[in-house]
Amino acid sequence: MREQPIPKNHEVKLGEEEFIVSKTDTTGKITYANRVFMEISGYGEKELLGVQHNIIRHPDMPRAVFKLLWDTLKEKKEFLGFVKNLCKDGSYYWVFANVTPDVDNGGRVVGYYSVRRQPPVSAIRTVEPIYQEMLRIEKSVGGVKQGIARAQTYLQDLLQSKGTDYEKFALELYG
Amino acid sequence: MTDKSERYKYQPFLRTQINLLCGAVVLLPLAFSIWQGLRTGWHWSLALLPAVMAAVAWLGHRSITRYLNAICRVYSVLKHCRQGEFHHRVTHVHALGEVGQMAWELNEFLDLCEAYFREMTTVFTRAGNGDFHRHAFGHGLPGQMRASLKYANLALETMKENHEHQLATRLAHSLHDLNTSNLVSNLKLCQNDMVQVTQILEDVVRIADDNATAASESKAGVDEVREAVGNIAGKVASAARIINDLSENSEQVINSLSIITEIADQTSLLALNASIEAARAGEYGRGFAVVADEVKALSNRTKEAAVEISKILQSFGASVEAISKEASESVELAEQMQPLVEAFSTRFGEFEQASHRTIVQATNAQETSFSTLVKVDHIIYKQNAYLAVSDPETNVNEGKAIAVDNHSCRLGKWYYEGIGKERFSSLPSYRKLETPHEGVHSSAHRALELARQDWKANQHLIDEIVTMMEKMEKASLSVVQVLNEMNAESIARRERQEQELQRQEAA
Repeated sequence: MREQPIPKNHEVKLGEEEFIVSKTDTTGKITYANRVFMEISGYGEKELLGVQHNIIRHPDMPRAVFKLLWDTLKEKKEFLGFVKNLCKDGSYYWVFANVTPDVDNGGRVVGYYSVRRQPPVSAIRTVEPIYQEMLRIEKSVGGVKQGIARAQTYLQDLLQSKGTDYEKFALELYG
Repeated sequence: MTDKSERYKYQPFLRTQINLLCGAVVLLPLAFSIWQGLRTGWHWSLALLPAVMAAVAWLGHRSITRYLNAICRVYSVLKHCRQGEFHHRVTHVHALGEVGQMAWELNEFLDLCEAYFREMTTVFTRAGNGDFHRHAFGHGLPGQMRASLKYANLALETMKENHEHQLATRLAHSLHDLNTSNLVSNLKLCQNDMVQVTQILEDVVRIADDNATAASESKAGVDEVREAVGNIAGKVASAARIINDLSENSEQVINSLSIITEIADQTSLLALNASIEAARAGEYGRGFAVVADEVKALSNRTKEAAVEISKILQSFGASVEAISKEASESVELAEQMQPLVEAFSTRFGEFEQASHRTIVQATNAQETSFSTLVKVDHIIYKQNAYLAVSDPETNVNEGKAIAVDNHSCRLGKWYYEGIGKERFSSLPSYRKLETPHEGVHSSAHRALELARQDWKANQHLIDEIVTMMEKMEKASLSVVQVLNEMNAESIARRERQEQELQRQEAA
């Protein structure tokens, strides 16, 4: 087992014209990472290939967001959302993630392709407190599944009250 | 393609060339050592060169093969790309120098391509489904790719506008269709009502006409009654006069009779005196006394007769008085009846006049309602024209409905052969109707003819159709105006005739 980095309050920023690309197989194991990914996360190619993508999952991220990501991808739709990631040295970086299924010429899903771009600061400021509340809900409820469900309900209700859904909300924030 | 393959068929690949080269590097020193050993005798130092060369060849082959393998993977990824699969990458190219760099450049180039294609696919697929929320993200893409996405976003904006416009147009179109189809059915109801109203008014005019005739006939009857009552009153009065005269005559007779009574009384007195004188004369006077007695008896009888006649005449006077009283009462009654009969006659006259006014007003109303009916016909005709022209294939019935010419429609029949010609042809505005009415029909016919052509391929046809419909509307407006004029002129003419009639009656 690899060692979990200890998160620290240091932000690394993705350049405006940079983008992170990674590919996984259908089980979420990394099959490709571009050089920007390696640079910002601090991992080498050998450390990444064949490893679960959650190697860069930040403990501040509510699980409900990833549940939403997988639910969306299973419907063969693209996922758009703001994600806080963890570097090898414990730093963090925010991205605007765009994940789409990798479909071969026969129409079969063979993996997932993810492009991450620099998010606007204002978007992070809006999203962060929502994620914090979701995380608090998840931790306050006994079971993991129930916690995720409760956090999802909270997010849905919040967005519904604003007359939107997560994708529209994310698109609006990204501008 | 085949030429090329043919051409390269006999040129060995790099791997074969290297294999050959390595083989040569191993075999040539080996052959040299064997040959040297045969010539000069075997010595261990002869094995040194082939062994070193073999080691060099093996090391060289191993490292070159690594590069070659990487190049082969690049080749295979490129081949996939050519088949349209951009999701393959070259991994595990650590520490391969320029080849490694090349692989990374290819990978990242493919990252860009894939990002670009995915953006394009996503946004246009969504746009195709009417979802325009997602725009293409250009951040991180270089040069032409980014520019291209920028244009794609502009195209999406236009598509969105078009989509919205299309929706709006579809909505407007459906609403228009809904409206016109309902309008026609509503107007048809009005048209039916107007037909009924016109028919009812025709009946009303006829009834009023009959009433007027009956009233004039009644008036004549009443006049005869009035005259007869007057005659009766006159006759009764003259009879009463005659009876009065008679009564006066009988009084004269009574007067004459009293003279006769007086004469009889005096005669009786004279006879008494004569009998007294006869008694004094004695015997000589005896005959004279008999005569005096006879005269006395005669005068008594005369007096008795006169008294009797007088009595009869007196009772006759009472009867005459009673008759005279009743006759004057009859005259009074006849006089009382006269103003009643006269009022009756006047009222009949008024009734006759009112009937006449009713006819005039009902005729005016009938004409106005017919004019309205024709206008409704017109609106329906135009609506049918719009429906037929907008879609001649679907709206076949509307097409048939507007095919009628300006002699066969309701207005045409009225104008050329019906009441219109009979009653209105002398009006100044009558002649003005023909041209615009013909224009409405011919413009609609022409527009429908054009609409049956392939106007989708020819912008001019659309313009011409619209122009024709505008002409139809213009002509239709004139028709309605002329109808209003005719209606007004007809009503004014009737009023004039009415006033003329009243003046003649007054005279």
